[in-house]
Amino acid sequence: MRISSPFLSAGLCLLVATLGRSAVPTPAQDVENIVIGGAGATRVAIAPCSATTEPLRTSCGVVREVLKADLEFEGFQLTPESLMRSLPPANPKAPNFLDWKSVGAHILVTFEVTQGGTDFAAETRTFSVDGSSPIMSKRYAGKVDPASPNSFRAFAHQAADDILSLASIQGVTRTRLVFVSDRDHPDKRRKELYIADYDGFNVRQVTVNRQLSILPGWAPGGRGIVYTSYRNGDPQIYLSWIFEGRSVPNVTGERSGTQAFAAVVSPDGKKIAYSANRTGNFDIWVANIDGTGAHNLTGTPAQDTAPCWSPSGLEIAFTSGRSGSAQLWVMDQEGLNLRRLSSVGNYNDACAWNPSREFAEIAYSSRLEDGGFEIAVVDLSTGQVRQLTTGKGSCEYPSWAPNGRHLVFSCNRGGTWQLAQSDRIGAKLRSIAVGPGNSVQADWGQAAK
Amino acid sequence: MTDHRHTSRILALTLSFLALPTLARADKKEFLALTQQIATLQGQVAEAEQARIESQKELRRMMDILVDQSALLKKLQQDLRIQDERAMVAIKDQQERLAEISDRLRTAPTVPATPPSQGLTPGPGTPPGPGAVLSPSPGQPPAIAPRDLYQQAYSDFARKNYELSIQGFQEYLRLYRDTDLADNAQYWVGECLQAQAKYEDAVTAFNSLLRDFVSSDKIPDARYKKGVALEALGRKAQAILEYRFVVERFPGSPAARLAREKLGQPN
Repeated sequence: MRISSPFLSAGLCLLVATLGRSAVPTPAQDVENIVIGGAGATRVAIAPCSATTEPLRTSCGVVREVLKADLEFEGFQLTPESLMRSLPPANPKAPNFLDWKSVGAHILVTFEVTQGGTDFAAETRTFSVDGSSPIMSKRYAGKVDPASPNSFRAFAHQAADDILSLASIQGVTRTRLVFVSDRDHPDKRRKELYIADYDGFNVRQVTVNRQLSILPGWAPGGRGIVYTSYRNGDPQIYLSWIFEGRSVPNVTGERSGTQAFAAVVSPDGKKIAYSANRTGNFDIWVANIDGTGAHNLTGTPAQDTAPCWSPSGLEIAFTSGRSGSAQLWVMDQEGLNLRRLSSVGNYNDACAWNPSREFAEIAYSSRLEDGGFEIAVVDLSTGQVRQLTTGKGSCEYPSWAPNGRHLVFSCNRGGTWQLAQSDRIGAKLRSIAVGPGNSVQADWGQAAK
Repeated sequence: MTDHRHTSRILALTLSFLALPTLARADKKEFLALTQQIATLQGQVAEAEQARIESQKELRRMMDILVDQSALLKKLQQDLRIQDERAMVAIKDQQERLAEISDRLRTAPTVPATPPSQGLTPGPGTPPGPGAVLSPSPGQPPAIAPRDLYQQAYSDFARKNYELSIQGFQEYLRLYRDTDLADNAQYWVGECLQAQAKYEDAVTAFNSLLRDFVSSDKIPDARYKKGVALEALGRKAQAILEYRFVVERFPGSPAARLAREKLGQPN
């Protein structure tokens, strides 16, 4: 098997964003008052680019559009373009705050870009319009591929994350999705793993197995991917260290006739939980990340599959048929303190535990009656279930964004399976275009460290 | 005679030749009429086809609506089911609360009735005034339902807010010690302490469970966890006693399987 090294190709390797200037001290009240969404939402204006010549106008345009999309994704309310058209060009260093007050902006972001060949820099300045004062000023510099507009996106993502941090939001703009697709295999029987930016851009192939590679999951830190491969006939767990272009096959050392699949890495990165049939039926097992020290947590005649870790790493939720139908159960990391979690729906599967400390909840695929699957979330503080999706076909395999504010999952509403995202309450549903074919089983990982 | 016949043939032939254009004209007319009819028929066929396509589109649209309605119905059914479950939980909580009030009334000493005007706590629906104390007075059911309190404490554990979680479970134990979940609450106190690496306190918490809830289904798990905490404290001999106890008394339990691993015994 060969693991391609997507990060050694053009694109991300060109990004070396350095912070030239640190944040300028700012009146605290302006920052504290940022309100996301609702009637009193803080309105942010992203000033039009001041560049007047090509190619700066193009690169600046890309950075601006990506920055806008990133901020809107997290719920920021932006000043409409139609209002800004009436304003004179803004001085990026010293804007006329009265102009921006007149269009209802509370925060203003200006930026200047410079480019010389493959060297690119974007300098952003964030101002409080109400306070007529600067909040933050940062410079992002690095290499770009002038022929590839995508290579400019990373600058905007980093700027967006810095602006989001003003509202105490841990941005996800530099996080990535790993997903399964049959796009490169017309027979649709073979599937490979691919990586994309959180918004579906910069898709890169990870595996070239020409077999079934499914159920991927990121290792914390975004440097490794654990997944299930049928390369040797039976499903086995593989671990790919993507930056090193190195793959460890059959991590759990399954012998002929035994199968292992659906592995997930613990939050501390030291263990994997997975499903294996060494005892004759599928149980939940936990092993060290290198496959040593494997032990069975469930050991019942029922089929136990699809584990997911709690953010603390102290508990594991999983799917079990022990009650007669597939339902979600929870136990501690040693297999004790077992209890049933789901009660609504006749088939509940593919759990994903919200990684944030803010929200105690688990998302999963839930089938009601004999229809399709939908994404549901159970709130652990109330026990209440909310259904996030509804419609024709199915939506399955939810995965949380690292900040716990969004979900990615796959839906077949239009005939083929495509990735979709929503916020944690099911609003702002959007599909993500990651290319042709069927795309499923996305896992949302942290930005690579 | 022969000449006459010959002449007649020539005449007939000539007449027939003369009649040809007329016949041709007639055929052309018919042909035009037929062409017109065909065009008309083709138009009708096209209209029929168009109507069929429209019908199919309409049918598809109706099917889509039907599917959407069906999905909506399922969603409503699920909402209804969730409501039912919530209602069941609420009823159960109310029953537990009633049982508790009943117990308290049974055991409470008889006191003279206090006039309502002297009550120190606001009545239902009364907004609290500035500085009002909302903690329940003795005999009054607390504001938070048992299950809500338990779930909240558990969600704090899940979010790694261990101190808050301990407070929540201890509050649960204070208020609802006679409920089914009380032993679980005590177990979670031990878990929280263990998660914080406060092993001495964790042993104490598991001991409380073993002492106060002797028929709890958490006993094997608590015994095993106590053994793990003891091991972490370096008291391996005591830990082994706990593991052996679990293996001997609860041989089929998941805790026994783990205890056997600790003891190096085959499972």
